[in-house]
Amino acid sequence: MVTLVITGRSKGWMLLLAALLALTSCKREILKPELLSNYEGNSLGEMFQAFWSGMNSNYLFWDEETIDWDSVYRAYKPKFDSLDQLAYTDTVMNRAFQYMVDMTSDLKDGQYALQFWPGGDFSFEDSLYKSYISFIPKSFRAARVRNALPDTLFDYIVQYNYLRDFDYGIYRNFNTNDIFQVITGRISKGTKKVWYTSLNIFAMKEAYDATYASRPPRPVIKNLFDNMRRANCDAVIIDLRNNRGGNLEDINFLVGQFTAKPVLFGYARYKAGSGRLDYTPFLPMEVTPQPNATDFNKKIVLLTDMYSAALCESVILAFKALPDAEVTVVGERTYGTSGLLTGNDISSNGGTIYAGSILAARMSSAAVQNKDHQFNFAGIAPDIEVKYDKAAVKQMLKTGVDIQLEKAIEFINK
Amino acid sequence: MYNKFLTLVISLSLAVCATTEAQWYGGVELGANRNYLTSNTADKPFFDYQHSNGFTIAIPLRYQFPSIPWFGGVQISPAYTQKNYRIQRTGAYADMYQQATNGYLELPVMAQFRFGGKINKTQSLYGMLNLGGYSAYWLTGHVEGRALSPMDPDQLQDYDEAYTFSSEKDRRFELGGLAGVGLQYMPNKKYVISIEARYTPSFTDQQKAYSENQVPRYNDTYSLMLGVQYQLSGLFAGKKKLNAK
Repeated sequence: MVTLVITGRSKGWMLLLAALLALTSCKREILKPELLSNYEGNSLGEMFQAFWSGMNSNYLFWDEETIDWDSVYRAYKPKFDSLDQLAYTDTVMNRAFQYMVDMTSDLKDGQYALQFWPGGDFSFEDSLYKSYISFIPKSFRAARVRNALPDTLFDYIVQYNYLRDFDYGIYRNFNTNDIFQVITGRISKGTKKVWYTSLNIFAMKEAYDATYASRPPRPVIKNLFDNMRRANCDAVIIDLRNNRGGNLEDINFLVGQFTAKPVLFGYARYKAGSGRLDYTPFLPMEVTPQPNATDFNKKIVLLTDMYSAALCESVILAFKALPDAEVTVVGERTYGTSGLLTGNDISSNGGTIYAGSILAARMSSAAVQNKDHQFNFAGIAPDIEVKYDKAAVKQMLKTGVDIQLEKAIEFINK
Repeated sequence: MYNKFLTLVISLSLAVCATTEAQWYGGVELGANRNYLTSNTADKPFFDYQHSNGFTIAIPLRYQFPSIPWFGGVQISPAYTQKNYRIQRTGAYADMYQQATNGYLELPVMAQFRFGGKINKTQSLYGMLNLGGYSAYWLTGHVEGRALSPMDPDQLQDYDEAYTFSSEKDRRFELGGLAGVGLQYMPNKKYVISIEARYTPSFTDQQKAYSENQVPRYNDTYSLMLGVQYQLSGLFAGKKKLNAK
């Protein structure tokens, strides 16, 4: 206990001096963080630091994760440091990759993909992946249930067994080499007049606007929209199976054909700083009505499977939010992406990172919730579940019966 | 460190209080401020924390010792104050920003040192130096800004809404220091009019320590305060006389 007795002016100056000293002695230390691109990856320890820091600052779902990312830091930093004590070999590099796989295998972001340029073999959930350079945990888990069915399989079966007035368009983006294919036709089964379309990816508006395409999708898409708007159209089936997403503009271009007023269907947020939990508020995502669109008040059936992913899931959310249409999802639970790849890591403040010149981690740059403010980590559940397992696929190949499409037709005609 | 400082200020104040006869002053202070969020954003390209303006309104209560003219007394000034800042994207991204408007309930405690003295028989003019500290509670938050449109990355979308506090991230109690210089004019013994430039650096991170390698963020607030105080001693003098009987 300090006891002071103040008696005069000189003591006052001492008091003042003491108070000033105390004030200035309160020191604040501010860590200087490193720009990710400054990491050259000269050692595995440095690569780890870049990877951990990049994930820490750019990953969008830390508030939803159960992983303790700080514990990961403490557990794995010594491991990478110890790898630096060993001579550089493929085995050492593979072990480094394996560590990064182990660090991130439970992340919820369905867009997450770890890419490692040197390649090598690694094991994931007791399976050995030979010479993989990409680790996409969600995709690997989906593949354990069932491999994706090729688009062409459905194309042939649907074309020959279910459609009349069949038409199709194909467009290739020469920058990405992505091929967009749209198939349209009228369902030949049942008594109702049902228009069908399948979209393998979302590049619908891009294809519609393209000045060159080997089989122009523009008239095909235009006919589809015209037919949907006719009074004698009873329902629409939109086949989004194995559709892994695509261009953001297609939400408006497709779903905006079915509404005459803006429709709120979800929310998105970005990172707002480098802190792990720095986020912007959730921004509303609204469908903008397209020219000549009217409120569609008939049945819309969306065919989905476990490979309906990314932007495709946002399209499904948008369809489900249409207030006047009766939207039903038939098929399987979707992939469960919960985020979009949009903008770039600077404009969005988050998303994909590069660590040195040998590692990249792709991840969502915008986190998406549905209109009830829920993330979609587990995928969108179908209203009517019809699953393709190995036996059902075998049966389809044998009989040409698409059980998911059959269920959709049955639902519309009942 | 902050605790040591606070203990020193309180000990000194109590020591002074115990030895002299005192007078109470109460009043109101209004001020404009400029807050800087001091941090380091070297890891974020085209990203700056920028200062932002706000205001302060306070109700000071001062305990003065007439027998020690150089010591203005001890003052507490319960206040509502804003500590605003702006995240400004730069370069090609300059249209994007986030303006954070944060309201704090603040309790500054300060010792006042005075220089100068009487102008004439009734009037006095002092130079003053306030030293002390404060505690504050982050009461409200509001964010307004512009980010990429989630429907079209070539467009921007505005937002403007109440800030949602994170119990994991946000440290809502803040402790800091206080240093102020100014002038104090007394037209008579009853009234005190003051103008003060004040600096209040926070010593606590605005965020809880929730992450490894975390870069702290500190509020540094510069204020210009105008105040009027009225001598309340009459109230207490009556009581004293009563006690004496």
